Parts: sequence; structure tokens; C-alpha cells
Amino acid sequence: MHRRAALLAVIHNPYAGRYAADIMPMMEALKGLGLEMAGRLVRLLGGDAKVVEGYGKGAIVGAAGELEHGALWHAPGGYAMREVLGDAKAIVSSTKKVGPVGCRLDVPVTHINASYVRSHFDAMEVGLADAPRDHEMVVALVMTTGARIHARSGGLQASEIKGEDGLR
Amino acid sequence: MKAEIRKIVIVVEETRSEMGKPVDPPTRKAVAAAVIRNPFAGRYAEDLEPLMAIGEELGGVLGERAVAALGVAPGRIESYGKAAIVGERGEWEHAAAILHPRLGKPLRAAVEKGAALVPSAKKMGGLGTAIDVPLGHKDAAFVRSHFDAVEIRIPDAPRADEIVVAVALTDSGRPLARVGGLQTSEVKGEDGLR
Repeated sequence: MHRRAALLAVIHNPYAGRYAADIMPMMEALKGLGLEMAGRLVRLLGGDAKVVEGYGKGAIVGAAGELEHGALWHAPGGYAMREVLGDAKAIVSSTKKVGPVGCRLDVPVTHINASYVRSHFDAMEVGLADAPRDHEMVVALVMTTGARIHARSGGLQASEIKGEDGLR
Repeated sequence: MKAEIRKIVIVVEETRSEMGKPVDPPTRKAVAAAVIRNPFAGRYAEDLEPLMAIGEELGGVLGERAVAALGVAPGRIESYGKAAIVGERGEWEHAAAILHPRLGKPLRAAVEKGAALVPSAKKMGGLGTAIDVPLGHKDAAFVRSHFDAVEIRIPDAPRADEIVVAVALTDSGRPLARVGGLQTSEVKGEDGLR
């Protein structure tokens, strides 16, 4: 059985509507949310972090915000998942956009310990009917439990992972 | 197998201002997408080699078209990404066979170098399905200013027996990037990460 799970949070964007040069405080403020979301996502998949093999993250910024506000999710979202999954080695791939209420986002997915595992390259579309409003952001985390269904496109296999550099 | 291409769509997005502040020089993203016939629509095929060959062909074609659309030397390309949308009579794995085995090599040739993984997305969908093509720095995946994405949507594709294949390139990072992390000036470009 192949399972994919997404957890989304709709948060207030304190920088919406004006240019703020220093937006880094928000990155710090999102750390707790990242950890909470990553933990809940693991529980959604049964509570055992060992079943999680793929991950990704993304952000949709409401209309009064700036694309760069979505970038605030990179560190808190990514490092939270890596921590909750037991020091996962691979970079967490991502997408971001500015969009209206109901906007959809394709969140890319890769293997948690070796980015080049070909069977785990994937993506999941997420979104919420009533968000993001113009002063909001939707932040998303995605986890998957294995290879794509009927994966048969060759490349590096999960069984061959060395797990040292996060790539292979 | 050669790709049977019904149409090619090229979009260039140029951002000149963000939140009232000028972006100078403008940041630019190009997406080149091809709508192709899916030779395996409607049936299960164990061997997807023909789609891998199509991926190889399109990596070159779409990479070169996107570079040309930006009008810069290939070495000036800074980030890249790829994506596919499979029409409803196809299979999720058809996107993987096009994107992953062989599309990267000719794409990297088109942009000169490319030590980093080419980030990707895939999905299935009907006419007008949009997809967000993820973007990452082509030589160092951890360059934070270049984590990005660009949406592409073709109103009349993919039909049920078609696949949309897209390559996205930029000659810049995000507009007004300011969330820290690894900077382009610090890139070593050896391991593809930093």
C-alpha cells in the first residue's frame, strides 16, 4: 500500500500589504509550527516515523503578500521534518507561489535520505477551498510511505542508498 | 521512438516590481512545454523505454527553447526544474519514465554544467490542468535564494492520450530574496549541494 499525506496550516502573514526589509523574525517564529505539523503528519501515517520514505514542502502566499514570504517556510518546514524523521539526510524539495483563495500547489517529493532515489520522485497537489485570504499564507508538508505505484523507471534504488551525502 | 509533438508553449515571466519596490534587474523565468502523444495511453506496458527516449529528446529541445526564450548565454542560466502532466488514459509512471532516466543529461548540456539534481513534479489531469514546476539552483541545491517554482497551464492539454512535458529555467533567483541561507557567491558547485 502506498500512502501520501499532507498537512496544511493557514497562518496570518504579518508582512502582507507592505514591504518589510527584515522578515527573518517570522522564520524563527515558524519553527514551533513546523515541528508540530511534522509530528502530526507522522501520527496521521500511524505514528511510526520509520514508515516515512519521501517528503516535500510548499507555501502559498495570499494576494497581499510577496513571493519571498513563502520562502520563510524553507528552514522551519524542512528542518522540522528532518528532525522528526530522525535526522533525515536529503534536502527537502519545495514549491511556492502567490495565489488566490482556493489556489492549488504541487508539492514535489523526494526520498528522505537520498535525493537521487528515482522510485521516490513524486508530487502531491494540495490546497484549501477557503485559503489563503489576502493576508494569509498556506504552509504545507507532505510525507509518503514508499515508491511510486508500479515504479519501473530504473535509476538508484532505495536498497542501494549509502545515506552519507543526502544524494545517493 | 520520436516524440509526436502537437504543440510547444513557451512562457517568459519577468518581474519588475514586488511589493512596490523595483526589482532591478528583473528576475526572469522561462517555461518551455511540449504536448506529446502518449504511446501507452489505455494499456499497461511493462517496458517504458520509448518514453525514456522521448524524455531524452525533449530535455534537449525544451532546454534549448527555454534558453533561447530568455535570450542569454547558456552559462547564464541559474536554476532549473522539470514537470509532466499525464492525460487521463495514461499512468503516473509514464511521467517518471519521461522525466527521470534521461531528460537531465541533454538539459544540462543546454544550460552548461548543472551539478545539482533537477527538481521535479508530476501529476495526472485533464485539459487545462496546471502544474507547479519546482526550481532549484543548477549547481548547488542548497542556494536558498533560488528555491522557487513556476506554474504552467495549457488550456487544451493534456487530452486523455497526451502528456504535457515542461522544462523551466531562470537567469535569476527570487525577486528581493532575503531569507538567508547559502548565497550564490558561496557556491562551490562540485557536489551539487553547496
